[in-house]
Amino acid sequence: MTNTASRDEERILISAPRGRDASLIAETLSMDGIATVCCPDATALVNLLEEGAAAAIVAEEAFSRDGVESVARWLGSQPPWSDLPIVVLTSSGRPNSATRKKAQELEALGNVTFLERPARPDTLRCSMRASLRARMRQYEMRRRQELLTRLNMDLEQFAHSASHDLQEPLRNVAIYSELLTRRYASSIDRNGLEFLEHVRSGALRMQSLVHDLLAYTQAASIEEDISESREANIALERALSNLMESISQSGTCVTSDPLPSVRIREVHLQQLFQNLIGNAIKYRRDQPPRVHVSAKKKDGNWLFSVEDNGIGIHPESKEQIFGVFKRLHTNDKYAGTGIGLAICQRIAERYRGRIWVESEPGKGSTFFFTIPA
Amino acid sequence: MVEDNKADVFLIKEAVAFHNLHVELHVVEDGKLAIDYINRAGEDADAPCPSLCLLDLNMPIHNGYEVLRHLRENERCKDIPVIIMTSSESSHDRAEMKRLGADAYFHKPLTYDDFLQIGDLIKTLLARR
Repeated sequence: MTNTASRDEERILISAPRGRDASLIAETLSMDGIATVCCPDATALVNLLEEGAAAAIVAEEAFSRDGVESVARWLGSQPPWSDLPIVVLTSSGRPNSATRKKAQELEALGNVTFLERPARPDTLRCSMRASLRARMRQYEMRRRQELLTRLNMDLEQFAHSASHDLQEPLRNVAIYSELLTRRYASSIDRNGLEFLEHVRSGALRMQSLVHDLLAYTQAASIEEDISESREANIALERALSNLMESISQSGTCVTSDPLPSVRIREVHLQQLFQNLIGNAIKYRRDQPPRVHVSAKKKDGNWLFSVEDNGIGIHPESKEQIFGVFKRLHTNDKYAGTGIGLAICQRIAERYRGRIWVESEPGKGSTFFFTIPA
Repeated sequence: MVEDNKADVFLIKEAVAFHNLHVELHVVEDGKLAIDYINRAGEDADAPCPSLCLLDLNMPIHNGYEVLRHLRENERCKDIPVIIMTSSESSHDRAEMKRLGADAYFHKPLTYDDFLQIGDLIKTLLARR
């Protein structure tokens, strides 16, 4: 056994109150060095499960319907990595309607295997060894998940303090080159003043890159598993409210179909809409931008689309644009650091979705992204 | 003023002069010296508490949070107005500062004119007393 599990987590629980089943099973398994604990009823089983266990052996007749339900409830609340194996000991003989009904009830326990009594010792040992192997893998997955979470937190902290520490010297460069220009203009020739302007704008640009890099690392830094649904319409409204100024300045018209509820944090969906619609406004043609947002169900996911009538994207650049700081135009023409789409991609990926674009130069673009339903 | 960046110290002096504030600036360069100063100001009747404290969060040895906490725990100096200065925006910092009792928050800007506004902030807080 690896050291990722505690002692409790390596034991097998036995709920077989009738006759000598429990003690026989315990004895058999102890031959393989497997620790066991007997529990007389469903309540005792759930209490022990709370403390930790590798697997459980439950006799078909051990619990009432309510008992089975309470165990099923506990099993239903397990974290994503956990899927406790349950072995149900069934009575011998031919199945009838009563046993079939009981079997259906017991299937609610999830990761269930049925073992008919009298169970041969070898069969039992084999079955439990297999269950233990599976459970050890689950514990290993838990360990990796925790490591990943910790690494992500470290990364976020690093990015946060790096970004913070970088801003101070950048600020100094920006302000003091400005002061030089303002106070010593008379002693500096035109070239010199131009040089100073390059210094200043370089510092300002780096400042926004650092700022956006921080936003990128903070955008959905861990894989998200959301159980509740949120209204996409609300996220869209918030995004539009943040874009209010540029929408009115550019005369943009945003329309949308009714949007569904989706399992994504509102702030992440809002960022997706805000970045995509913001781009649609920025990369516009001569006419006022028109943006349409819609969603349809596809393969168990929601496929959102944000369609615009902007300048479009060359097919060769369709993947490149999602890179961090990757831009297709100079800063003179369209301001920005090129982090928006990288953030969108990061968010989509954190929810195990995808984002891509379909576009033709001069004919507008449609960005698609998928989110679990 | 608790500030270790000389470039920023200069700018704050400019802001104070620009707003014609007649104040005496004492500068300490790290959190430990700041705490020592507060202790002295508290104990000695001849060393009065400052009228206002400009506190940079990102200080060596003891950070801004600790200095502020120390200040608020000091019997003589606990009510002096404090302006927190930071280089980067963080809603977490803002909330934490409010909790510890800072009176104002100044996010150091990228242009000279915007930086001068800290003089305005100092003026307002001094006038309140």
